[in-house]
Amino acid sequence: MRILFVVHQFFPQWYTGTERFVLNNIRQLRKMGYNIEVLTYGHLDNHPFFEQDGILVRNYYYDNFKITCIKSLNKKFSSDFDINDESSQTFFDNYLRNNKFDIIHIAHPMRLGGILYIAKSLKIPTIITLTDFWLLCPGVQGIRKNGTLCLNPDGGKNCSSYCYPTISYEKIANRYSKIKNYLEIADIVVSPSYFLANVFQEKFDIDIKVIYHGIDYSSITPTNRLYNCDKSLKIAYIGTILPHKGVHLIVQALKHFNDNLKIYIFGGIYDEIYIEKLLSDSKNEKRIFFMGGYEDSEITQIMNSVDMTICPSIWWENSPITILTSFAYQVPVIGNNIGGCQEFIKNGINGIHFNFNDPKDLASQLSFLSKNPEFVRTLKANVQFSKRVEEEAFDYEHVYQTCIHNVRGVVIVE
Amino acid sequence: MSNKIFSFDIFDTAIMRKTLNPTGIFYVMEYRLKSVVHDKFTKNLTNCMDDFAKIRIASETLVRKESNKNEITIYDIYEVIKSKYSLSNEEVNLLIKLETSFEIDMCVGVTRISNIIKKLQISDKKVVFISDMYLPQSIVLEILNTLGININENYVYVSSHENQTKHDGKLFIVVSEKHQCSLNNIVHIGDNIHSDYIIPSSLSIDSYLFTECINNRYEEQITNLILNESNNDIKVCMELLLGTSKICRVNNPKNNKISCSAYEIAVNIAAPIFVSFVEWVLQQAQKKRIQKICFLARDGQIFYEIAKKIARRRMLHFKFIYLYGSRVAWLLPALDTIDEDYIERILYAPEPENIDNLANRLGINSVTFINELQKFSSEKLELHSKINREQLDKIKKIFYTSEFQYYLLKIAEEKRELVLKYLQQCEIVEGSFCIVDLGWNGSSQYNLKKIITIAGKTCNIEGLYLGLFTNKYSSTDNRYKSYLFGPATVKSTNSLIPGMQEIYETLAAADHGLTIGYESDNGTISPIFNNSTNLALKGYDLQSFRQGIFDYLDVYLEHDNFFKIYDPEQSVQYLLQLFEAFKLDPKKEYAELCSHYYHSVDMVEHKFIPLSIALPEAKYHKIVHEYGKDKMSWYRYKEAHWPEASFLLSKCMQTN
Repeated sequence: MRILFVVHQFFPQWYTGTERFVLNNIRQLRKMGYNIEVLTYGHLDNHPFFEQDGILVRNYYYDNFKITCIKSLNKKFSSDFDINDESSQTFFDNYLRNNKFDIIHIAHPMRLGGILYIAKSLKIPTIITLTDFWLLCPGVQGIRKNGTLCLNPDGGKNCSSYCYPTISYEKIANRYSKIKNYLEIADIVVSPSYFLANVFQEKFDIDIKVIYHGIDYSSITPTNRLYNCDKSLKIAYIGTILPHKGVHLIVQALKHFNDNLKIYIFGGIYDEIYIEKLLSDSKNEKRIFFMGGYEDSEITQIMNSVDMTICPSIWWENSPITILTSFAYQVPVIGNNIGGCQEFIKNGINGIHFNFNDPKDLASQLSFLSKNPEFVRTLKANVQFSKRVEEEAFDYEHVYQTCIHNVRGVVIVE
Repeated sequence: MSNKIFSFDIFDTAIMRKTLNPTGIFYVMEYRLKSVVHDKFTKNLTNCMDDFAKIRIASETLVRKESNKNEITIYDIYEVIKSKYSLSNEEVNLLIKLETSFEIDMCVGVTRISNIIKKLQISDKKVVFISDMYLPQSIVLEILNTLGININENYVYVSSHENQTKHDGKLFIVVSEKHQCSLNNIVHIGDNIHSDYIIPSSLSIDSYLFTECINNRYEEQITNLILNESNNDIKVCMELLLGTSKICRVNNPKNNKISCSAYEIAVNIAAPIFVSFVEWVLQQAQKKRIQKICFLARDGQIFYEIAKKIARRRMLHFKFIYLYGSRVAWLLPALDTIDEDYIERILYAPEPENIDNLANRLGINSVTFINELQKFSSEKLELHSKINREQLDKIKKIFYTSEFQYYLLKIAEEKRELVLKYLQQCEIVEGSFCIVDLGWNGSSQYNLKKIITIAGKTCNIEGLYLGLFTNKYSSTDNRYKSYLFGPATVKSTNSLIPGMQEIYETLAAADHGLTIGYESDNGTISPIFNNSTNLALKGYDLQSFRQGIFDYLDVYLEHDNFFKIYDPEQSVQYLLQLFEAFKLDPKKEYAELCSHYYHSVDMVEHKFIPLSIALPEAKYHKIVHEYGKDKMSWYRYKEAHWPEASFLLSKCMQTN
């Protein structure tokens, strides 16, 4: 079976959550005998492209997967906002006709969303995995420019008022009006969390299947570390250091209590102003350590040297890889009480919740843990291993088969 | 009548698995489990992964033996595996999820039954499904719904859910009570003679047996081989290869007897062999890094069509060419000297009936040829008069004269020019290419190479054949490769002679006539046929046969992710067994169908005899008697090509 994965950006240039979800699954599906190719968009890609069917194209291989990377030449196409780029339709049509894929799996519709319409016209079964809010919120995370949370576009009115005052309301409303139809065109819509599924189900009244993301266990060793009462509690933040990830909440929380613990911040610099602010706010704080960027290969070492991890995001995490990875190492997590964090972290069972965007509450939870370190052992004992990427791929295999059955139909009454 | 309940057994009645046998699912599961990374979290799973299918089957047997319940569940089975291999909850959940998910994915509908169900539902008749099954009711329901059978849980009765079975009849009573319908108002259909027929009949249920999903004699032979196979990958491939046959056989779309038989032979016998052969051809070409593959007319036509479909599906980059040619079209052009071997082949193997027949064999216009021959003969020669051995020996002497040889070589040169132009048109006079043919001696490859060499060109031709006999061309040359049997293993086919080649050639029958030469039309070279259609076909339904091959291929290619592991060389013994079973023990319908196929007795289709024939009683007894002592005696009678099918038809005729 030939499967095309469509993703808005891909390795090697882009390597965060959605790209990793795609790579994990295509590696596993290849092991299972499937023939996989990837179609992606050359966002900020400076390699030479060639012109074909009115757009720019380049082909490359990553991990022996054939990657077709395209860029639009249409100046009217706002790649991070518009769902469909009409100038790409001829290319999509020829590309799909020539390659004869059995299934198209859209892992993120941004920049390449129009392929769904062409796939439908060619009767190719297509599934979409919702990996963030982009279809609902062009800003992706559901955070308004003023920092407040918003998953209520109100037909595009709120987008226009709070985030896109320079774009005409008609254009925003037009985009919003097409989302339901867009999702209905897909044969199956999948979400990696019930939270994300519920958001879309409530807004658009469509069926969504939930398949949790899987973790690649090939390099994971379960940690035998148990909290040592003679030493201070060690907590790690692992991820990109950006404002919406909420690292500043940790710095603020530390100002509200004096108990002994150590917090290690692992992550590369993407926003220098934000990092400088964090460093300046914590310059007299001896309990926080900025460890710099990390490689995937260092995760095991990090997980083996800490007692808990923390996910202080100030937005709805959908299916946070950090939490799933922590659980794969049997490391409990501290996280906020909304969205994906709330869904995956069971308060007092496999981790601790704190009130969303509330540094004081975070402080009281951290203080509690510092004073009751043996509780971490209980949490650790309750952690259930995250789903494996193999299981995730088996689930998707089942979805593909269902999709093919449904599209082809079986029974004909004479 | 309106109170009646129509009850359908589920597995092997309303639906069937894609594997040949239900246990085939476990071989597929074992294969899939091996794609799970071996790490510290699956440590215990790893312990049972390598032998999973065997463990799964044995555990079910054990649970069935030791359980006190009326019916076991999938959880009971995995509880045994869990405790024996110290699996974690996560590992067991992974296995259960995988098995249930496979059960859903690996089932297909039985068209005939599905259509009946639809008709009943449309007519507001009450339809229930009833199964003795360890799977949860929810999974069985999902399977039915996935396959387009719209039913809800109130109409699906599964023994593991009800804790009652069809086997002891109590599940039927549950149905009768829940629907407040007396047992004699239930109509039941299923495949198991005990649970679906004897037991319900004893309860006054109107019962019918549906046996289509039960393995037929050929599928059963392969099942026995699979049971003794130790390599799980081969088990997976053979289960799916023959499972595909079974799906197509059960869902045979043909209505009349001849079309039905043609379709069934295609899906049950020819397709698994031919598709495997083409897979082997493509693998050989890939190994040799050869992109051009020429399929020789006419036996190569079906392989050409199969290869195109496989390549299109997998996006393989081969250049496939269907090369028109034949022994008669290439024999004379390949001639640069006339030796005894050539004369013997033309004049004596077998002897020509008349001069017209001889001219055809040479590939020369009959009138031109007899005029030339007359120059060397004092006797008046007649084109259509039968020639005897003495006359043939005289002609042989003419063939040895230098003048006649000059004449022949001149024609050979002219014809060679045309063949070369045709080959150039096909872009195969230089470089490397493969040729694909059924077999049997590789003489076409030899002649083709010779034609190109005489023209001063160099090329590398790799011959890929379904089978090769011991002969002077191929026995010592490694550019002649064969799939099912070759010079070293040909003895294994001794039991299949006489008739083996003719049966294979019938299965590979093309839709056009024999290529007897070429003509040039404004620079484009086209083949000339002896007839627009294949003269052998007569009443043989090639269209239904071909539809069977292509339907098979469609289903086969749906399992493409599993066939990535397919090594066609490892399936040879299975395919030989399949063909042997077919050849030595044909079904009556197949024997009848083959009486409509007429196979030529010489290379120019001068005379045909049927593949099978019903012999008159006296002749039948005489031939059978002699055949028992010496199989080669069959050739003396020249009644038909396939002795076993002919004997079966003769016996049936006498019985009737």
